[in-house]
Amino acid sequence: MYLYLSLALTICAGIGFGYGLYRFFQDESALYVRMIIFSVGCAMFGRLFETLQYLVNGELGSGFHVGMLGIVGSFLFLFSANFGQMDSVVDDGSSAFRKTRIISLAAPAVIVAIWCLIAVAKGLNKTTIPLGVETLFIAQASYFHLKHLIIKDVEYGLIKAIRSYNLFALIYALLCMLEMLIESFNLPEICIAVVYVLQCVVLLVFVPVLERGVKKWTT
Amino acid sequence: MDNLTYISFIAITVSLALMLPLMEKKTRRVTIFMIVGIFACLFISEVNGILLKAFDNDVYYVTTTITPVTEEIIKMLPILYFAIVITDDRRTLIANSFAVGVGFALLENVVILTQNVENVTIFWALVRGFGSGLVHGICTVMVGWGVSYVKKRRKLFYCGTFALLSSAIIYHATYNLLVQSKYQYVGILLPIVTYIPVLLLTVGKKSKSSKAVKQ
Repeated sequence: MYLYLSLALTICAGIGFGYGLYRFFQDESALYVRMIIFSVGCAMFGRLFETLQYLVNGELGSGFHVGMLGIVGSFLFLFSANFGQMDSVVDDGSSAFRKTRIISLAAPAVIVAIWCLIAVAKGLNKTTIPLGVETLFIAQASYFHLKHLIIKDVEYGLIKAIRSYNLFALIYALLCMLEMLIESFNLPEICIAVVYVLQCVVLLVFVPVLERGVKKWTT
Repeated sequence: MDNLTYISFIAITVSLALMLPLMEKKTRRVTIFMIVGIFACLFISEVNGILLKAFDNDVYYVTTTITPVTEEIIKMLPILYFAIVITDDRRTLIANSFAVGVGFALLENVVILTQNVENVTIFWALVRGFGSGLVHGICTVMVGWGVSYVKKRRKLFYCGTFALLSSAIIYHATYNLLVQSKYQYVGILLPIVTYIPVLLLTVGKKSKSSKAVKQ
């Protein structure tokens, strides 16, 4: 079952990535948008590796595997786009946004709490430590997604236009953590199937939702 | 017999190094980076030997999980040094990155050839030429693109380069995984399928910019 679910994720991420390349790489588009498309591409490569592992070896194996870097890279691109490009535009560092910054810490707190739950139950070992590293990258990206979801809008509705994208990114982060949780506790297969299907949906709609928001920047 | 890896390294690099004074500036720079790539391969062959021992000579695990990480990091270092110390011009970095990747693949192919001299065929040469040469080139170019932000946008550089490095590692590991499986034909196609759109995009951009200069 994992092979087919992983294959479905690869295909959905591939469609999202392909659509992003087609829509945004013909002309000069914002680096912010390009990085998000790279994020979907990185997720696709990671899932492709996992799919091939299932196909060739029948299992992923315990501990670190290169497919994990797909998630790491994907969230690093998302983090990089927000931290390196967008955040300085929407947050000038003034005390007016202090409350927003504090509330936004809730997202990484939840993400880290999920990993802590796994670490407490399973102990620190060759499986939970790589998952912890993965969690760090998901957590730092989720901070900015929540922040940009709730922050007071700057002029021209720049951040308001991409709020739905940030919501989907936040859901994606949560789904990745749920996947980790379900696999760690060997929960029923239906749970993992639901999480995978939801991830498929998010990866499919990620770029179109972003595109709809970005269009509002220019109209 | 002395170590064949070192013999191959000397035989290739000495002839390339002797040509350097006769070359023009641009060609010389690319050739120097090719030599750097060859040296990176020599260095990593020693590192990989140590890692292989550490993982109980499990060649499959090491080549699909460990060596893509070490190789991509080592190939990135000269590009990063060049970008920080000399120039972070994107075109120059991408050309240099490809040269590092190709240089790396060159020695790697020679080393594998010397280790399996009785089993190699023309098909093997095609696989290695089209496959590993392109994989190393493409992966290093991916990282080189991120490194080009080293001075322009620090925030983007730190995270973006690591993200691109992750992508390059996965791409490399995927290739290694496929070529060692029964789906090795797909493994050979992977770099070619990636290279063609990049080539078309680059040629298209070049012709666009040359048209703009003419006008």
